[in-house]
Amino acid sequence: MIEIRGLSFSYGKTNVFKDFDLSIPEGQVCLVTGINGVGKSTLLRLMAGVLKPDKGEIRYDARLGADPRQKLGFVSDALSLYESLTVVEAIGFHKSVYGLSSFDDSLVRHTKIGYGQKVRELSTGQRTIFHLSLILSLEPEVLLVDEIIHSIDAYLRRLFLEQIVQLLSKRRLTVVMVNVNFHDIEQLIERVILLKSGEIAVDENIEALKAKVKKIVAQNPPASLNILSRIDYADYSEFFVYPFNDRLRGTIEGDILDLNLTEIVSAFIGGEYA
Amino acid sequence: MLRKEIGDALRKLVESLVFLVIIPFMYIVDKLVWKWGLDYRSLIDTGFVITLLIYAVYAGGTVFQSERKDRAFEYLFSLPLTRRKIILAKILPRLGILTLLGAAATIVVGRGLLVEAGITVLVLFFSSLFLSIAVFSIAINIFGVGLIYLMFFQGGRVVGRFLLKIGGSSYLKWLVTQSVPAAVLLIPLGIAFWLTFKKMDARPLKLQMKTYYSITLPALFVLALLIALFSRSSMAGL
Repeated sequence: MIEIRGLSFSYGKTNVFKDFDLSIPEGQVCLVTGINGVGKSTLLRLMAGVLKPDKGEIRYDARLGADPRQKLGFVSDALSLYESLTVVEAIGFHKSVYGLSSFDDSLVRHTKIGYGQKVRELSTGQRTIFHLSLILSLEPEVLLVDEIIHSIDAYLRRLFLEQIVQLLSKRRLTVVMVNVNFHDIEQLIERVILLKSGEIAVDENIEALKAKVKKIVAQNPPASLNILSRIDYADYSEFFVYPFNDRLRGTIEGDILDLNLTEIVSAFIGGEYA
Repeated sequence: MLRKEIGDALRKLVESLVFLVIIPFMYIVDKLVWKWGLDYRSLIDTGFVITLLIYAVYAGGTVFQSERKDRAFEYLFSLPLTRRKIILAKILPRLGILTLLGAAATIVVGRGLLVEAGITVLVLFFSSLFLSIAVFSIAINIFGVGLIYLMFFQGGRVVGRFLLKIGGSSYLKWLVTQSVPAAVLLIPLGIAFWLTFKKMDARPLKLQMKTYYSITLPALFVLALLIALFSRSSMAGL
């Protein structure tokens, strides 16, 4: 369980969150999304403890211990590591800090990372996988994943996601992801949280969300429905609506189409840019 | 963590020891060009003392160098380490090596160097360390340490003049003239450093320096003013 209460955070004079509340039950896989700069990565960094709230608190389940960072894996988009260390030195450092006796290097071997290579010499993909292998060695209870996997190749992305799927199958892992490639992870996501101006604009279970967000292809906008965004073509338009109610189906002119997660998120984000 | 910091501290020691390499060169220059009349022995003594002072400033000023160079603050703060553990892991190896280097220099120089220069070395180390949180460039750090050292030196003279009027052992007087200005200068800097580091996170550092500057700048200004005033009044008294 992750419990965020009354969280306020700012970068200098720029407020990101003010009295922000969020609760994530143990074992849930959440997707946090929103337009650029809305505070998704900041929220993850606050949860990881690398940023400190100005006000409020973030509490973790007591079984994570006095310092939850001991069981918390954070894959940040900055891929921050001691770059001047070699891979083997970085592994040694990580093991000593977390008090680990062993390190599973199967992922590292997969990606042809040389143990004598400096961390700064690794490609973004190699660094991401190396970072993940360091985090997996902790056997984390909570995994926070920033949008880094967009920037790695298809093979490494698959490898990365396979590891997360494996981990989810082994234990009740709580996962919070930010804007990751929805095609790859749609089947994993249980809850979608859309941030807007430092607040939660949408917080829905994935199935409920799919039922509530629809695309209506018609010539005229549907009356009595909230339109998130629209795409106009020569003789028709696509209207993305939320919340859609199934009881209205008979009253709406045009085709009502289901959307996948990528389209749903695009509809919300498109609406904010409109 | 400690192993990495010992490695870092030793690397800085090796870099500082490079200064010793120029001693034979200075000797040759002295013999062939300038003829200062310095013998090899006194050059070695001076070289060791200067190396000790260089290491004190360099080791203190580069305490966050690997985090800055490697952009590893985010990684460091994601680790299950308290701020106290982090700072102790950074300071202790550097202080340990500084003590060993001081002992080695004392053996080479053959006098009570560690006792005579001990407080000065600590002032240089800690002022450099306390400035390092706000100052990225080692050159600017050295400049800042230089200014603090001048205040320490001048403060020592002021305290010394006051002590002239009081009796007591000369060693105790000397100890007071060294330790009082050192404490007066280092305590506000140390408090500012600790309060800033305790709250520090992965935000840009310039957004986190309010506490640091609001303590150090007035404290240093007031201390500089007091030293200037007392220097003038004690000069007039003499």
